[in-house]
Amino acid sequence: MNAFLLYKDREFVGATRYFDAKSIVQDLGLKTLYMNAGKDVVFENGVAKQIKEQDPFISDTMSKVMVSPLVTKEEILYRQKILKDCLENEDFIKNLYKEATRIVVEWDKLGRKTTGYSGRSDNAGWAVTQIHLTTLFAEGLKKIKKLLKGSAILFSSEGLKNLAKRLNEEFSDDYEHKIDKLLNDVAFYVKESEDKDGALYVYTPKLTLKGKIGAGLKLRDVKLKNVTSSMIRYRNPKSTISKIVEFKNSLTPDSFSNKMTPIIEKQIVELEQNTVNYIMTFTMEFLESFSGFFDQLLFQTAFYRGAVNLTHHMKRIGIDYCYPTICENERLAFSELKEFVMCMEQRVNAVGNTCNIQNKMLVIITGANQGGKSTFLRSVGIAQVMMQAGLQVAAESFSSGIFTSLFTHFTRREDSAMNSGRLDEELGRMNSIINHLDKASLVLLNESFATTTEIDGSIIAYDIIKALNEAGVKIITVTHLLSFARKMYAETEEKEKNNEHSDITFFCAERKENGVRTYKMIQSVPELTSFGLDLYSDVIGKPTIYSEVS
Amino acid sequence: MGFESVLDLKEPVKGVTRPAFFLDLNIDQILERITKGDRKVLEYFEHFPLDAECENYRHDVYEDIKKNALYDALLEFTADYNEFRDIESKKKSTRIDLQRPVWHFWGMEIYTDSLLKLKKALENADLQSEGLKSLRELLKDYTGASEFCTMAEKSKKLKEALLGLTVIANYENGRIQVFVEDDKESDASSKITVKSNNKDDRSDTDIENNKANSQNAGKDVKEDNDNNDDDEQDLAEYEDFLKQICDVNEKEFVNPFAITDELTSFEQEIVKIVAKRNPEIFKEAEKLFKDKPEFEDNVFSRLADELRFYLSFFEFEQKMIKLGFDFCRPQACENAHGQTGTGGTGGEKAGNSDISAEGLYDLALACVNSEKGKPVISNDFIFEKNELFFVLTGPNQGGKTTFARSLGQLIYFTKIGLDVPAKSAAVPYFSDILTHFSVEESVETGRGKLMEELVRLSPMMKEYKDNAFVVINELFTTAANYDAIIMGQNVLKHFLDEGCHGIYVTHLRELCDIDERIVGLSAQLDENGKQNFKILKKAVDYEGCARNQVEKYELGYESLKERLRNMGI
Repeated sequence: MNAFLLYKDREFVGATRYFDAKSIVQDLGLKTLYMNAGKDVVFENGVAKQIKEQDPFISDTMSKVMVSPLVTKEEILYRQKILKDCLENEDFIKNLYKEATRIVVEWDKLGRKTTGYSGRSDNAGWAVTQIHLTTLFAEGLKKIKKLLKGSAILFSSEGLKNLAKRLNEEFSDDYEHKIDKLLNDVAFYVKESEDKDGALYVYTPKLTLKGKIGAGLKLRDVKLKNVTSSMIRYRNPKSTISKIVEFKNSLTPDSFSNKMTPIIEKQIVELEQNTVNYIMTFTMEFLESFSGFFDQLLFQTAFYRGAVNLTHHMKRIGIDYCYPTICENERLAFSELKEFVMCMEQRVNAVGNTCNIQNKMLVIITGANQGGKSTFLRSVGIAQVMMQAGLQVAAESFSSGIFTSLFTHFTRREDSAMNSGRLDEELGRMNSIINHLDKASLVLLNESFATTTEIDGSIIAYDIIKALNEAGVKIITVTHLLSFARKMYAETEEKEKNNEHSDITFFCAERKENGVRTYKMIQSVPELTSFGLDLYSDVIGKPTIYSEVS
Repeated sequence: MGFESVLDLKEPVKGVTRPAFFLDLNIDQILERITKGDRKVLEYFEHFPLDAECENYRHDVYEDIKKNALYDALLEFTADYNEFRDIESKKKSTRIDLQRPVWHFWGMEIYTDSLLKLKKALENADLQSEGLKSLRELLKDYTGASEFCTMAEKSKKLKEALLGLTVIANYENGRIQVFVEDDKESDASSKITVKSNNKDDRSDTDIENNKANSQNAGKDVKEDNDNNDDDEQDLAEYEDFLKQICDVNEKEFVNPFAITDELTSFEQEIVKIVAKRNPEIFKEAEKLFKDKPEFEDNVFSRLADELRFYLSFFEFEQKMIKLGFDFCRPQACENAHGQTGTGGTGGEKAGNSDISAEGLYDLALACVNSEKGKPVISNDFIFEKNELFFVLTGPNQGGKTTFARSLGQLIYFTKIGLDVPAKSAAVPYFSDILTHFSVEESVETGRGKLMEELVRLSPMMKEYKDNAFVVINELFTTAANYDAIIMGQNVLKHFLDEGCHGIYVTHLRELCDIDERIVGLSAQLDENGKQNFKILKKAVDYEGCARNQVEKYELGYESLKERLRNMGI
């Protein structure tokens, strides 16, 4: 049995992760996102009232699913549609997740790790565990079936509709009844007694064996003809009624009592045990076929629980959100795109960016420090990852291509001290990225090659980025390397003069004429100012530019 | 002469000691594979040496077994016979009175049946050997006796009657109720329907009713048979329901009473009821037990044991033949004393041929190599007239010891009366096998090791056995060359003068030339420097061996230069 809620045709097993997912998580701050995905937001009249405690399992699930990107439009739409159903039937997804959790937790309690569902079938405890497990699975499946049935009319997603259908097929009512009968037949083995209408009833076995006489009068070819449990009224063995019943039974012709001798009593207990062990081996396949299912169901519903929670957080902060749309890789268009992680961390609705970049494969962002460049880059990265996980994104609209691989190469502030060892390390990281590039790759560079001089850094950046660009890799880079940016810009200008198409575009942090920053990015000529000049401005005063810096 | 032993042994083998040469020739390793750890069978292989007559007797018997494909029949006989013995011991040890007469006729049935089957198999065979022919005679007389016929008939009838009983045990309300049906007489079982519906509490009344019905039924046996299929369906088993839940489960219902061969208390109670319901079977059994308490003839008991000598070897031989190894029956030829032997009475006479073999190999090595899928090198040899000893020299790892062992094995298997590991072979009668292998692992050196060798050598030379086959491997390696040559010459001369055949492996080429009855052999490396493990009958020559080895590793001046150039150095 398969859950198939994350993919149309497979479970979440061995999904391909981003190469160096660790860097992506760190550079884009995804941990904050995972954490919040694990926290439900309770709304009252549309107002966030309470943030619930984190469910670490959900967070953990998000951390696995989000770095394993979907790579086709169909895959993304498949999840988006299920998410839509979940958002419209929140109780359903919550209950489904709750039930899956209950089953897995109970299962763990039954010693899943130690005995497993396919443990040794030759001891007394095994059959008891097996009966409890079968009961747990059967009751769980019934409940899940009921949940799916209850909301089925409301579903529009293929994923949930098919899940309901599959479950009805693979755990059919007929099969359900057979499992119930089996459990009822062996009930004597696990159920001691039961109160019924004020009287105490006990379960007693009824077994029929058939065999032949063999060598030395030994029974051979012994077959099990029938097994049932029946409830009989409990009576004190010392009571008169009890004795009368016993006497009546003892009149049965050609019979002997199961308590005739202690040895016989023991042997009959053994017979009961063997019989139940044998019967329970027949549920092993049932357990096996659904064991993977419960794990997957728990995991996959946890993802949608997390997805719903993330949407709740956007709503709470007041961010507009949308289902992203897929377009060609040369395009990147969005409106009011927010850096979602920062919004959650700072609990503010940050400045959004809007742009429509067409036919461009290289975006070079330059500009003053503290101007929102990195935020811009991260917001695109986060949205891209969320889009390729099938999630909603923090924007009024968002449209981007699908990239089979995504790389981030961020030089973090603490790393930026000049140091040849660090440059070597950076180049090493770049090298390993290049080793893992494929046809549809997106590379996000943030202050790359800042660990060496501007001149050296520029040459390195120019060589690498130019080559990658010509190879068709999509790159968005934030850079201080002015020489590099200027050279790129000069080449672009040259091309445009000759009426040739250039797939390079330049962004800058917007600065009003009065010098006030808006923290928005706009398409513009690379600024001729750098972080150093900014500093100089701040500390000493605006420096004079006397001649072009080459 | 009546039949006594299929191995031509005067009395049963008991408490034999392993011949000294087993370890040296790796025969113990071969026998481990043949006997698979069966001590009893191993003893037959250790009972050594045999006289020429006994060797021939066995070769003939083994030839009959092979030619007439008697293996299966004989194996079945030994298996049946062991089952019979098993049952006899159960009969003796049981403390359940009801069981004793049942074991008695049960064992009797197997005993008589096994002899009848063996008789039939031998009747249909074209036997040449004295051993099997006399066995056939014996069986004919024994099984033809009226006493035997009665035993066979009565025990068979009782067994069938017992096997035809079906028992149904119904455990409910703390009691086990037992129903017995005779498959031949009653169709009660077909009428008993045990409802699988757990709400149904009337199942035992159903049984009662049907039991009553069954007494009126069963008049028309033919009709019952026709209805068999339906009956089976009527008697649906719980497993059928379980299969609906999981049809791939291969597990079978474990009858907890099957754990032991003994009757459990539970079964005893059931059997008591069975006996009560079927008194005639048990009465008849009791009578047979009293009338005929002992019936086994010891000659067959011994036969069942001794046959395993041939059968175990046959199994082993077949396995090795499948893996591509050759075996043959050795032909007889003359020994140095002009006696002919050994296996050659059957097949074409080769009495005048020289001692020789083609495609002879070390069977112990073959066993090991076959497990790794590796072949073995085989050799041809011939002792021409007046040649008594091979003195074998040559480079280390040239297969010298292997060849010496294979020669020893050839003589051993000839003498024990079985096939030999070669394509063809001619072997005369030898009185015994004497071997002396240096103990390479010995930590002792110098005088200590030499002393140890001499101590072992002394009885071989002193307690000389006329016409033995001698295998000596690397004597006196720790002695000074001069001493070693002199000692070696003395040893060789001693055995030569006693008319022994043998092989002497040594690093001392000087030993080749001391007597014209000696043939110098050398293990060879081929032109590529590869060891081909062929023993060639030619003068000892070390020329080229060293060079070959150097070139094998491309360490010659020119080739080493070339290698280094190619490596860019």
